[in-house]
Amino acid sequence: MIQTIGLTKEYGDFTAVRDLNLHVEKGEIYGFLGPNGAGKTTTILMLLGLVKPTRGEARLFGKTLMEDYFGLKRRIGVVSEVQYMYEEMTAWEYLCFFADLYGVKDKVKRVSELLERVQLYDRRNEVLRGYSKGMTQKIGVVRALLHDPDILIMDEPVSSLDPYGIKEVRDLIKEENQKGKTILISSHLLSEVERTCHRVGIMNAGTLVAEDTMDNIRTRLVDEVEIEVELETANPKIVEALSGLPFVKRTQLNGNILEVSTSPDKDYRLDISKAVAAAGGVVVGLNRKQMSLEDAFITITEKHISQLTGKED
Amino acid sequence: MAQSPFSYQLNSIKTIARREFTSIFYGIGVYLALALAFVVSSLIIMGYTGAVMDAGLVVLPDPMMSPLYIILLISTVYLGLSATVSISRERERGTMEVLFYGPVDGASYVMGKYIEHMAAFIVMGVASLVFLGLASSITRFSLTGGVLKGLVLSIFMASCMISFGIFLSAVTGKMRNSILLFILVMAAFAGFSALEGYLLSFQGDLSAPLEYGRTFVAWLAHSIGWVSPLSYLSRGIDAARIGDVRQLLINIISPVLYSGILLWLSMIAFERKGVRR
Repeated sequence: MIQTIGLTKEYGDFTAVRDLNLHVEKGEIYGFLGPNGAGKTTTILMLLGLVKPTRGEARLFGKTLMEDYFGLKRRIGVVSEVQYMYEEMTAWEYLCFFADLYGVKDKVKRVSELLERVQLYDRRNEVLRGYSKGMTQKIGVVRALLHDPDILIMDEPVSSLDPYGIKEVRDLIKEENQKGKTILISSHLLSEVERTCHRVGIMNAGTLVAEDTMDNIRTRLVDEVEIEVELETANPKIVEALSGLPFVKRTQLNGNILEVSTSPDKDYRLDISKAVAAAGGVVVGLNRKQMSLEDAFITITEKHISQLTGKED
Repeated sequence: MAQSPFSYQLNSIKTIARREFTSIFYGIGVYLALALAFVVSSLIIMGYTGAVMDAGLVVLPDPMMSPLYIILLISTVYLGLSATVSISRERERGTMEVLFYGPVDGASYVMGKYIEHMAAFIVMGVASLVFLGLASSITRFSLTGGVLKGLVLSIFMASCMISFGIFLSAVTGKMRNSILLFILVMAAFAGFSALEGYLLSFQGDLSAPLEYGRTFVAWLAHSIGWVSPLSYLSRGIDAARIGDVRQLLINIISPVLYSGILLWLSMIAFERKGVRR
């Protein structure tokens, strides 16, 4: 559905995006992650034809914008990070204008439905100048959905929303995805991407440094998994027994909590539980600490930076 | 069944033009421009009636032509400036970028803006005709065929000014810069036009080098006249006054070419410059 082939954008000596090969499948929610200046927005702008690539090409539905500009543009919806709106218009007028632009049939019904969905129908006749940041963000989301696009491209869609608004938009994204829409989300809110996306691509310094499912990215990065074992009563025999297990790398006792580091190839909680019981202990609780996307993101970008620095050296 | 790209483009042009047309008439600028035009032309007409009352008789072949010229000058300059402001403001606010997320390209955007301003001019033209008709019935100065021809030709003259405004905003970035540029360029064109008139009317004896200089500067000013939308307005009004068919045709074809070229260049400028803030 969304594909870039060797997409590159250079501004003089600075390379904003370097040889990017993306492939987002139909019906997928793809998270596009990266620190500020990583090249995410430039990539999105190249996908939309608003920035010309220096090399390579971007394809939507297998076609470039040159091949079918209007046809493709009518099949994509875009939510930008900052909502630039005609502030003198009411929400209703604004959305009806865009509905006309996209040739939406029965625009009154469609605009009403979507405004109700984001709970702004009652405020439809207020001018946008008086809307809060969160409300304009929701109007931006509604605008992107008006023409029922096949692809949704969202740049920081929940950045200015309160927790309630975040949930509303998140539910909307999932709902639209269940209807078959392909969604590309660029975000710095890692927890949001983690909750919503099927796959993520991590950009750093214009390069795609990792691309996989969340679980696979974590697995690839994690050298060891930490398991917290809460014991009824801690005793040295248990620590000794666990330290002797082949898959245990380290142990550390803090009161009744025994922290056990294991290799990441398997979930060893059952083995640990059995070993504690064999040593005469009682397990009260077991908690497997997973690496968060945030940890993975930092690890990946730091690795990439050190690789780049290494190359330069 | 999928529609053709052209029909999508046409829909975008129509939608943009309709929105902008409405926003022009929601604003106060258009009414102020018309009010100013009507006040100034009323003063001219009052000057004529005063002269008639003082002298008993004044020979005026086309008494409504000068008021018409003033109305057209103010209306078209206002619309040229409005075109410049509306595009550069959209770029500055970022709303242009949002339009281009959707089925809008440089050509449909430029044409939408152009048609919107042309439609606004037609409404202003009708208001001007009503005003001149009222003035004519009050003062008994006749509305001649020349004035009516001038009104028809004014559509082409307005087209030049509007295209010029669109072109300036397409090549500049910030709204303040494009307004300043518009005012400066208009002032320069007016200056060249005045210089051309002065040099051509200069009757004194000159030495050969000064005579060559005068001829060259007059030629230069005349050439610049083909770039200045103000000159198209003056030439159009002159053609309407004279009523010569050839002149009338020239003043239809040349503004069409001028507008076409400027709109085409504006589209290219959009492609090159992009639509981002």
